Formats: sequence, C-alpha cells, structure tokens
Amino acid sequence: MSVQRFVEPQTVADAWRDLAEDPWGAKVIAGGTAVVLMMRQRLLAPSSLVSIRGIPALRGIATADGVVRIGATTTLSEVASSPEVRRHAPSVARACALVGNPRVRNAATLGGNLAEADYASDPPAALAAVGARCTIVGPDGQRTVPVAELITGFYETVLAPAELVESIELPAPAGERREVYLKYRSRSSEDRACVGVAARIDLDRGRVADADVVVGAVASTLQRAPEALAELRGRRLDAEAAGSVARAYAAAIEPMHDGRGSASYRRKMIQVFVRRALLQITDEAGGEDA
Amino acid sequence: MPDTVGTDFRHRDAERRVLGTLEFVLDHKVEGMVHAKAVRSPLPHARVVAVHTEDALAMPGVIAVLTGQDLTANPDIDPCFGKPRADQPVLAIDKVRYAGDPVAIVVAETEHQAWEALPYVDVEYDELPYVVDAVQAARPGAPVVHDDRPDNNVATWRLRHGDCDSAMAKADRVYSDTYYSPPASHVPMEPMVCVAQWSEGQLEVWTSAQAPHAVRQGLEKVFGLPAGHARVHTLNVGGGYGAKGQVKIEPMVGFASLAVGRPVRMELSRDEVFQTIGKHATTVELTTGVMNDGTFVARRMHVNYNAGAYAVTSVVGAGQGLTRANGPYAIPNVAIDTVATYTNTVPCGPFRGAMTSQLAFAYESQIDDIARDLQMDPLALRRKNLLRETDVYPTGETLHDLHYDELLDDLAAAIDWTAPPAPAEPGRARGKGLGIIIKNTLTPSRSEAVVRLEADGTLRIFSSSVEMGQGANPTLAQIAADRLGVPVDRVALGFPDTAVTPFDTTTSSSRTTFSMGAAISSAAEDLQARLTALADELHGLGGMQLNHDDGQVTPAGRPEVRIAWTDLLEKAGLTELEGHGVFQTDYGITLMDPLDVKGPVSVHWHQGAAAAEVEVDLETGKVDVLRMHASCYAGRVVSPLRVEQQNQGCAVFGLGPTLFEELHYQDGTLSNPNLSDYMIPSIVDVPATITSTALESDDPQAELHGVGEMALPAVSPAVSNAIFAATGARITTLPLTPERVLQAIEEASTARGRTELGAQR
Amino acid sequence: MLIEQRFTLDAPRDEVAKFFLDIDRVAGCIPGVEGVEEVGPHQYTAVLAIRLGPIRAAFAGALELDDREAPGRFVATGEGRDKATGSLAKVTFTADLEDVSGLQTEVAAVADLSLRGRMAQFGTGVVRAAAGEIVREFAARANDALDQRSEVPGTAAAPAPTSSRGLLRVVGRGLVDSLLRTLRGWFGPRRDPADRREPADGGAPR
Repeated sequence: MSVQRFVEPQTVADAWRDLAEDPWGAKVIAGGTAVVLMMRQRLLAPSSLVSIRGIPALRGIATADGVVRIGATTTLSEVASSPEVRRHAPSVARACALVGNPRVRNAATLGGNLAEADYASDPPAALAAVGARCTIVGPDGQRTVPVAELITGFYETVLAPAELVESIELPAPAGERREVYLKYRSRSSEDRACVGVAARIDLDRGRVADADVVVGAVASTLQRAPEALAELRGRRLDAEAAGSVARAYAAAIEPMHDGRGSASYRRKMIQVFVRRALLQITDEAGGEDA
Repeated sequence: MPDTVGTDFRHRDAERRVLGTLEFVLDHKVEGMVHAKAVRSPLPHARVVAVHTEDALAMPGVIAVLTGQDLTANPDIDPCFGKPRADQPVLAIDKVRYAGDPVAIVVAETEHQAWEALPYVDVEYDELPYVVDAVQAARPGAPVVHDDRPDNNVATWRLRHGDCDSAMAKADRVYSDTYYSPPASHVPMEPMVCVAQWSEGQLEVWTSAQAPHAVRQGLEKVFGLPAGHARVHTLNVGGGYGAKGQVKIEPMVGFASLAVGRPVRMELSRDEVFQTIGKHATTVELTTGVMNDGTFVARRMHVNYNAGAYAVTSVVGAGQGLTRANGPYAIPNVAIDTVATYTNTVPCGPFRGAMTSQLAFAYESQIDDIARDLQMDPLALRRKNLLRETDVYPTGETLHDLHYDELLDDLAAAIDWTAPPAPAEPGRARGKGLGIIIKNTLTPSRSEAVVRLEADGTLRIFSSSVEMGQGANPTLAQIAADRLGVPVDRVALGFPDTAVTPFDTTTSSSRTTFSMGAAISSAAEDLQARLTALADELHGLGGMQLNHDDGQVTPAGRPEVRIAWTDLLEKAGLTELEGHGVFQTDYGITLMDPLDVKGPVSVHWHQGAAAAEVEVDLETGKVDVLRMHASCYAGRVVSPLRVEQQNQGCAVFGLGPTLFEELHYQDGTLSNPNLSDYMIPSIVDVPATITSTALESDDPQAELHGVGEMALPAVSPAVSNAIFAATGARITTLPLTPERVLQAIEEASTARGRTELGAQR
Repeated sequence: MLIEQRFTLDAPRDEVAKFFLDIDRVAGCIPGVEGVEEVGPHQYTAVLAIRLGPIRAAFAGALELDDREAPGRFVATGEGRDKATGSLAKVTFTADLEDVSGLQTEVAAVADLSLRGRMAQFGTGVVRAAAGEIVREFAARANDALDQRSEVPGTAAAPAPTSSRGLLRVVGRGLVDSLLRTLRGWFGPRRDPADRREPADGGAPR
C-alpha cells in the first residue's frame, strides 16, 4: 500500500473532510519529522496524507486575556524563540528548544509533537506541568483536554481518527510562578531524554500555593506523584522538601528499560533530576539544562 | 613553489561540498535503469525452505524476483564471494546466517515499486539455534554458522616472543583483566549504492566503494569473467571508514542486471547499511607481568574478534590485530593469540582504527591500573616501558623511526599533565587521561599510478585511490605537483575507473598518502626521465645535467635555456607522454604461517596518541569531555590543515564508540539499526577544545605517514583513564555509558570504604 | 525477551485450569486475538492484532497448548508473522497456577517473546512495555471472564479490546479474513502443524 493521495487543505474543516474520505488509511502530516521517519522505516504505510501545514488558522502564537494560544502547526523553533512563550512559560520554551536538533525543531510542530505522543519527547511534560490545555477539533466539534491527559500510552492519545490538535493554550499563572524543565540525556546531545523533569510552583507569600512535577521519558505516559506534591502545599520549597519530593517520585514511578537506561538507573535519575529541578526553582537559578 | 608538500592546498570541491551540489555515487544515473531491493532474513539463523515469488511478481512494475536458486542455476556464476575466504553467497542458498542476510532481490521499474513488492515475497524458514556472542560461539556445542567450520573459527593467529610462561611466573606482580568492546557501525553518510549494467559480456558498475580494483576482482570471480571484463567506477564517495572496503552489494546488483538485461540500481536504506557491515565486537583477555619498579616483563593476550556471519576481512584482520596487540611497549616475553569467530550477527570488517581500538582500550586501560597499584605516574610508567629506536618487536623485527617519547612529551604539554585538573563544582570530579597506540599498515600491498603530460600542459594523474571526504585527491595532487615542480592547478585528478586507472589495493589502512603518494612520485620521476630523454634527443643536450622546473627543462648552469615540456611534446609529434610508477611491498603477514608469525609485518609503524580531560557528574555518571588532544607521527606533513582535520576527526569519531555507540541485539536481531536509536556524536558532543599535533621528522626525505586513524584507538582509553583519574572507577566494557560509570563509581567507593575500614582495624 | 508477571484470579485453581483449557475463553481475554480455529488437538490458528500507536500489525500464525503438567502449569507456544511490516513473532507463554486459600489462584506468568523484522526495530523498551500491557490486560479480562462463571465469553461476546480496537478499525473484517485464508495456506496444505519443530530456544548454547 503506498500513498495514493496527498492533499493540502486550507481550512480545518477541509482537513476533516479529507480525513473522512479515507478514514482507515489517512494520516495527518505537519512537519513530517515523525511520520516520514516511520514511513521510511516501513513501520507506517498510510494510503493518504493530509498535510495541515498550510492551514493559516493553525499557525502562530497569540495572547488574549492572559492566555497564550499556540497554533498546532507552529514549529518548535518558533515556540522556543517566542517572546510571549518565554515570558509566560519559560520551561515550555526551553523544552521545545531541547528537542532533537535545529533541523528537527525547524520542521517539527508542537501539535504534531503532542499527537505523536512519543514517550521520550520533551514538550509534553513541560506543557503538562504548567497546566496547558489542548484544543481538539473534529467532525463532532471542539473539545478541550489537559495536555496531562492527552497521552494514554506509547504513541497513543485520546484523539479519535478524524480529530486534530488545533491549538495549545497556556493559562495565565495565578500569582508568582517558578518553573523549569530539565532534560537528562544519557547518550548523544541530540538524543531523546533518559529522564525529563518539568517542575512548576505557584507561590503565595513565599509559600507553595500549588505545585506540579511531571516526569517524562520514563514510562508510556507522563508520570506524577500527586501525594508528594500535596505535601509541598503551604510549605516553603527548600532543599529538604525538594529531596523528599524527589524520593517520593523515585519510589512511586515504575520506570521502563530502553536503550537510554535500565529501569533501576532511571529510578535513580528520577530522584536526581526531580531534586535538581526543584532546587533550581528554589534558588530561582533559572531553567538551565542539566 | 606554492601548493607543495607542507603547505595547505584547499580541496578543489570544498564549496560544492558545503553547498551540497557535489555529485556522489548516490546521484549517478544510467539511461533506462531499473531498481532493485533485497528481501532480507528477519531470522538470525534458519534453513530457507522455500521462496514463493508469485505474489511479488504480480505487483505493479515488478520485472523479476531473483532467489538463491536462480543464482545456482547459472553455471557461469560462482555464487559466493569474499577474499581470502569466499563464504558469502550473493543470495542465501540453503540457509540464512544472520538477520539481514539477503534472500531474494526484487527488480522493478521504480524503486518505490520494488520496495512495495518486498512484503509479497513469501519466504518459508525453518529456524535454527543461533549464537550472537563470539566467546559462546567458540565453545564446543555452539550452533554452527558454516557447516565446513564446525568450530566457528574464521582464523587463528599466534605470536610468540621470549618465554612468556616463565617470565610471568617470575614477575613481581601479575595483572589480569578482561575487556569488551561491543559491535558498532560505521555510519557513512552515503549508504552503499551501486548501478550495474552488462554489455557484450562485460559488466560495468558504479559503486560507493573504497577499493575499486578489489570490487572488480570480486565481480570477475563471481561472474566467471576474464580479468578486465568487469569495470568499476567510483565517484565521490560519501564516507567509508572501512565499511566500503570490500565487495558488498555489487554482486547482487550485477546479478540482477544480468537477469533482467537492463541497467539496475540498488541503494541501501539506513537499516540495511547497519545490516551490511559492522565493527567487530571484541573480548580481550590481557595478563601483564610487572616488576616492582614498573618494568613490564611478560604479556599474554587472547583476543576474540566477533566476525559475524561471514569472514569479509576477518581472516587477515585478526592477523593485523595480532601484530598490534602488544602495544607500543618493549616487552621481552609475549604470547598473543587472536581468533576471529563466526556468529549469527552482521558481518564485520575494518572500522577506522581497524582491529586496534578494541586492543588499545584493553592495554592502555590496564597500564593505568598498574600505575595506580605501583603508585607510579601513568605517563612515567609508559615511558619506562616504551618501544624505542632499534628495539625488537615481538614479531622479531627491529623497529626504526619510533617517536613515542616525543608523543608522550606532546601529550603532557597539551594536557598540562603535571598540573592537577581545575577544581570541579561539588558533586562533580575532573580527571585527565592518555593513551598511545601502535598500528601496522597493510603490508603487502600495491599502488600503481600514471602521470600523463597532455599537449596543453595538463598533468593528469591516473590513480585508483578513492576520494571519500578525507582529501585523498588534493593530497595526491599536491604530492604530484611537488615532485613535478609545477603549480598544483596544472594537476588534474579524476575518479577511479578500473578500465583506465591502474591497480591499487585499497583506500584504507591509512595507506593512500604513503603508498599512492610513493607510486605517484615514482610516476612523476618516470615522466621527468622521459622528458629528459626527449630533451636530450631533440635538442642535443646529451651529457648535460637537466633540471625540471615549472614545466620546463633547463640544463644546469644555463638558466637562459628553458624548454617547455609542451614544446618538447609538440616537437616530438606527441599528444601526450606518460610516466608510470609502482609502489609495492612483497612481504608481510599474509605471507606468513598464521600460527608462527615472524618477521617484518609492516612497511612502517603508525604511532598515535590521545589525551583527554573529563568531568564526571558523580550522581549520574555522565561524562563531559572538556578537552581532547590528538597526536600522531606523520613523517612529513603534506597539508597541515588536513592533518589537523584528520586528528580532530579521530577525536570526534572516537568519542562515539567510547561514550555511546553500540549495536543492540535482541532475539538475535538488531534492535537499533536507525539513527534515532543508534547514536553518533553530533556537533554538540564535540569537546570545546580539541587540539592536534603532527610530529614531523627532521629528515627532509622522511616517509609520509597516513594519519586518518592514528589517534583514534587512543581515544577510548584516554577518556576511560581520565574517568579513572577523576573517580577511581574502572570500566572494562565500552561504551562508557553514564549507567556503567555510575555503577563503577559506586563499586569503587564501596571498595575504598572496605579498604579504609580494614586500615582502621 | 522475558516478560514476567504475577496476578491473582478470584477463582479456585481447578476452575482456572478449566478456563485455561478453553481456547475460546482464553482467546477472548487476549487483547487483539481474532479468528481462532482449531486445526488439531490443542492446535489452533489465529491472528493477533497489535497496535503500537500509529503502527498496526496483524500477526497470523499458529498456537499450540501444552497441558501435560495441568493443572499446575499450562504452556502455550505460538508464532506468527505480519506481512506488512515483515515481522515475525514467537512466544512461549508459561502460566504456573498456585492455589491460594482454595478461593483464589495466583498465576505466575512468563512470556518468552521474540520479535524479529521491522517491528523489532521499534525499540526493545517499547516492545517489552507493550507486551507487558497485553499480559496485564489478559489478567484483568481473565478475572472478568471467571466472574461470569456460567457464561462462555467467546471472542464476539468479549468487551471491545482496547488495544485491538484501533487495529480492527483499520484492517476491518476483510483483512482479517484474508489473513486467515493466507494462514490456512501456510499451515494447511503445505505444512502440517503437528510436524512442526519445537521452536528453537534463545540460541545460545548451554
């Protein structure tokens, strides 16, 4: 089965129609960095490709009522360098800047990144930690899903066949916010993460009002340990608290084994990088890469 | 004279290379060509019960589906290739021996159609037990890869020098360790690609290969052709590193073209490149006997190279390893055995720093352990045992032109050896390490060259050396210009074409600058001699000493008389004049008894060195290489810039297998034959500082040494020793992944804890 | 690769043993199993549909059940291939049944899975995790099935399997049928499943 049809709809509605014409064999393509690779590896053989890159409504970054809205086909480079995203959610900009290499980031799109649901990719964890939501459109209308709930398994999402990610919204922080994304690579500097940790705290008079720590790349889905986070509430985030959350995360997550590390090594690294991530926002040292 | 040896002459195609407009073999097209794809075995070892081709033949555009039966049905075809052991069938005949072994070829009008039809070739297999590990494969009872080799032995080589057993018994201390290097892949940017066509019983191919004449000979043997009836072209080759050194896909493509009667092209996909050739996984058992003052008195080594499913170059390669295993040390009693072993894995061939990196990782790691145990400085311990001028090597030959003392001086200066590393932040540790290596060059071997003077004054070089990005062409042009005394822009150098360019063994083993350089020099001299004779004859200058300068002949002492070479040609009624040159060595390891290697094995010895400073994250085990220094003895440098680039290339290329490159086998098949899961260093992995030294001889007539792989085998031990210096963690398995480093750090600190506890008692 | 999992079924061991001998019930609990057909005593053909994100594969092949050590142990061996990706899968599934207080049964399941071909290049970690998911899902469904003691939940009656849903959506009945035809072609006239060799083990000599 080869690609019989390649279409470039100009509107989102046309895109659904194109998808509906070949519901079993159509595949959405935006930047192509994932789909084309899998096709070349012969793991994927779609009969039609619906390119959404040319749909103007899906591209660009805009702020309204404190919410930054990122169109699905905005490239990772564009997200990483956007002043709005860097101001509003620096950890998201950072995570996008750490994906692959410049060639990949200039082509890959944020919506595509989420829809691919690669367990080892960086943006999902960072987006989830800042409470980003994903607007999904399809023949049955529009719905909004938190990024934290989008990915359901290895390369699996809640998206139905003709549904598309339309945009990603970054809600406005309630008060003083600190956030960081740390990517730990165990091999080449262009590798995916062995462990990726996104941490975010909202402060109220120096005490933690709300916190989230999301660990990516260690299992089929994003990992959190809500009990450990609950303990942070009302406390000052200090080294001791960071260490205790890190230990709780390492104990709670069942990490996987792959070429980037064994399960037991990953468990250790979860502890190291959750602690380091929290320490960075304790000192406000900024989201430097590990 | 500008542009001569010792100055930088830029690659003529530098701009086109950078802009991406340079033509590679990959870009070559032939009118009317059709396309082939191989059906490859998914199983590591299986009998081929049947290959059903009907469904695939019914697919659109499919012209033919060829199997091992078609191959054996043709009485003119010798179905197996490989030298010296022809053990690799063009297509699987009775069984497949590794996952990736070609079983059938689909030929179709377009590449896409061939690709689409692949799943429709229905192959029935009867799976056999398989073996991946060479140590297991060498044990009795292991699955047998080739029925005529029930012990899976590809080759055994033996070197004996002095009396190892008794010296070992008398040594004050004996150190015994086992080191393992995993299988790895060359990852040339350009995949193997070949276009073949037949015309009147002659086969012509364009192929991305490092040894055009070896491919020609291989094709002539497979297709039963007289010498010269196969013709091999290479163009710019997009990287080789040893992966393209021998016959690869050319027989498959030649066979497909023969069968369909049209030109056929085959380009491997990336996973197929991974499945075509790899680096030998190697287990090195190393025992060294040392006196308390640090003097090495005995060395025993057993090296098992995992050859994969077919011998390729492993027969000779294991012998090359034998002569390099001793290391650059004067050890009076040595017993070395190297074996190559068949397994059900991807066949292996030379990998930049061939057969040597695995050995250097062992002997240069162990020497630092010995130094620590003796509380000696690792550099001082090396110096104490160095091979020096007129020392006798275990092969029995007396060595000359050795420069290890200077190499150590150079490393020490470059890495500021005596100064402690700059303090690291808490939780991190820094250390410095170094390594030195010895490596023979392919001996015996032969290079031939022709230098032709054309009527317009162009000096055209005919050489079968392959330009694969290493700068062979500008280097050889420079050597020719230097020897002829003309500006380099008068020298023209094309691509190998075995019908036109004379024989050369191979573009590998760091031999081109030396061997082809010598052949071209000799061809240039021959041309000058002919021009001298012509001048004599035409101008009656008999008896006078004639000098050649800038394309002119001048009698000594009469500078006013200048006769242009082109005028000589014209006057003689010639359109061209050729000089011929040959460089050949007729001794070496392939002519010796493998079980009793004795005598000279290399025309000269390659001497390389590297130093590294690293910083280790003690919590994660992640290693940052802060700086690297790569150093080699170059004899005379042709182009300082290209030597520096080769040294830098060695440093970066060497970091891959040191830190993360590794092929993974799961269920007997490669689980990471792609560039998402098999990592090679990216530009971001390059250390902030890479320095380079090329030591030169004082002798203006010193031999040119190839430098393409000299520093490379020293990289892994230099980095590993730096980690050892920083943390006390010794890792005996490559790559030095953070996980291994962290585990070794934890073990080292437990051991220290025990020692300290013991000391307190 | 070995995938090990322990789970407890809320039924006495004899009942669990009976369940393991009922191929239709067992098959109904394995996500993605389709079109089971008996071709001999304890010998079956079937299609196992696997979905790994966008990648779909349908492994068509043969299954053999060994109950010689029943009720303490059941061993199932199967192998199949997916034509589209050119992949081969082979599995030996061993379930050790241990009685817990007469009311429950603890199952120690070991799946020795080997996967070859293009699917195997997807990364060991993902394949292992996905295979583990199948075993977990099996445990959950087996418990459900044993709950409905009197009923026999055949393939059709089984709740829509989460992992195969995607596949069925894509391949539809037609492809499964054609795979089954192919399968009969392979294992019917050409080779008698009863004559088939024991699958070779890990290959490394002992």
